Amino acid sequence: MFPRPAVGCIFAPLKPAAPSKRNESVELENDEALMEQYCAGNQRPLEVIFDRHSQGIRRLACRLLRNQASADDVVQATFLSVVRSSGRFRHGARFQPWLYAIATNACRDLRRRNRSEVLSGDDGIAAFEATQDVDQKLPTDPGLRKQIQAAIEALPDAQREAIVLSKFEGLSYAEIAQGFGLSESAIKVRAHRGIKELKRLLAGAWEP
Amino acid sequence: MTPALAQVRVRVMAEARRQGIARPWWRDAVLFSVCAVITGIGSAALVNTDAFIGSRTRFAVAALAVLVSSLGAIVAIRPGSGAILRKTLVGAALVCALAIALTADRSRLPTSIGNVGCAAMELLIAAIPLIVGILVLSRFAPHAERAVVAGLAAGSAGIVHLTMVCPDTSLAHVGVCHVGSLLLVACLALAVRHRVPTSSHAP
Repeated sequence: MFPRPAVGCIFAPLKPAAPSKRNESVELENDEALMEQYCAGNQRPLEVIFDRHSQGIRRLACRLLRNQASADDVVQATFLSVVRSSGRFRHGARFQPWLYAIATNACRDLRRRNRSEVLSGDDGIAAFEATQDVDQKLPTDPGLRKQIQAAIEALPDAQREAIVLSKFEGLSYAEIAQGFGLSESAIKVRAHRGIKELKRLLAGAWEP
Repeated sequence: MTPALAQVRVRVMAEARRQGIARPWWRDAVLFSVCAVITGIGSAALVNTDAFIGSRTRFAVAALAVLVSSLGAIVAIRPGSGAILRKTLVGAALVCALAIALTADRSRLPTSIGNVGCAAMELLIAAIPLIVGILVLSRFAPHAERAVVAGLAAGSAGIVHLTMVCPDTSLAHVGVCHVGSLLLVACLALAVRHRVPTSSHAP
């Protein structure tokens, strides 16, 4: 019996293989199908999921934490949680709300553990402003942007999360509720209270 | 992709290779459930069976406690909203506590109200499922309702034991030492869970 050639010997490809039809088809799949493939033991779909959502998670973390270094930590904590708890992803559920719920939980945990580091500094302002280039709804006036940032920061965690996820990230109340395992009405109440408080803090200068 | 994100990607993929195939949530739930039920029934069975103060009412209460213990463990771990299920389980645990109080002998004076033996025994029996429950709960994001349900499931294991074995049926003893301990375990679960670091932020 002859031993099988080891990886890295002349039988192994010297260059990275061109994307096969299988790999291309993986990239075209939706998140839910990719997650099911990953849960079945295929690693490639996780790479596609990471490439698709890492920037979005980073943006969300910047909005919630106002710290770019912490935002990278949140991306790591989020995807490590996906890897460790992939068995908790329910068949038939939507993936994005689940992923964003994980990211929000990671932000909350980081805030709780590291409150003073996360809440201050010019880095926070830069991080928040970096997220605004894609927000068409926000005003262009820098002074007003800072006011909005301060007002959002002043909200309680639950209200801020509901507003950021619904008004900035574009998730529906039902999707947020599904992600957090709460009722839709609970999320609506949080968002409504947050909007009311924002209006009060900004004295009507901006409405989400 | 920024260099920082590229590094994160490498770490995530390394962890994914280490983890292998996804571990389904129900394995943890079954582990916790079986642990709670075996601890409750097993600890009662270990005591000399002649000492069982058996009556139909007591067996019914013990059966309800076994139900809360086994289903509570699963409901606490199960992913998804499940708010109605969790509230139902809390309700069942309260019914169990109420049944214990109502079946107590009101005319009888407590013989061991000052004796913390029963409460200590109940806490001791609940400790094993409570530790297992906290370890399992630390594998996903902290959730107050889930922690309380897990605490009630662990505490019910102690209720099973004491309902079958304790000779003191006075209301004061049962209320303070048995029902009080059940509620204490639920509060302990809530307090401990929020202090234990979480390994995953999944809901």
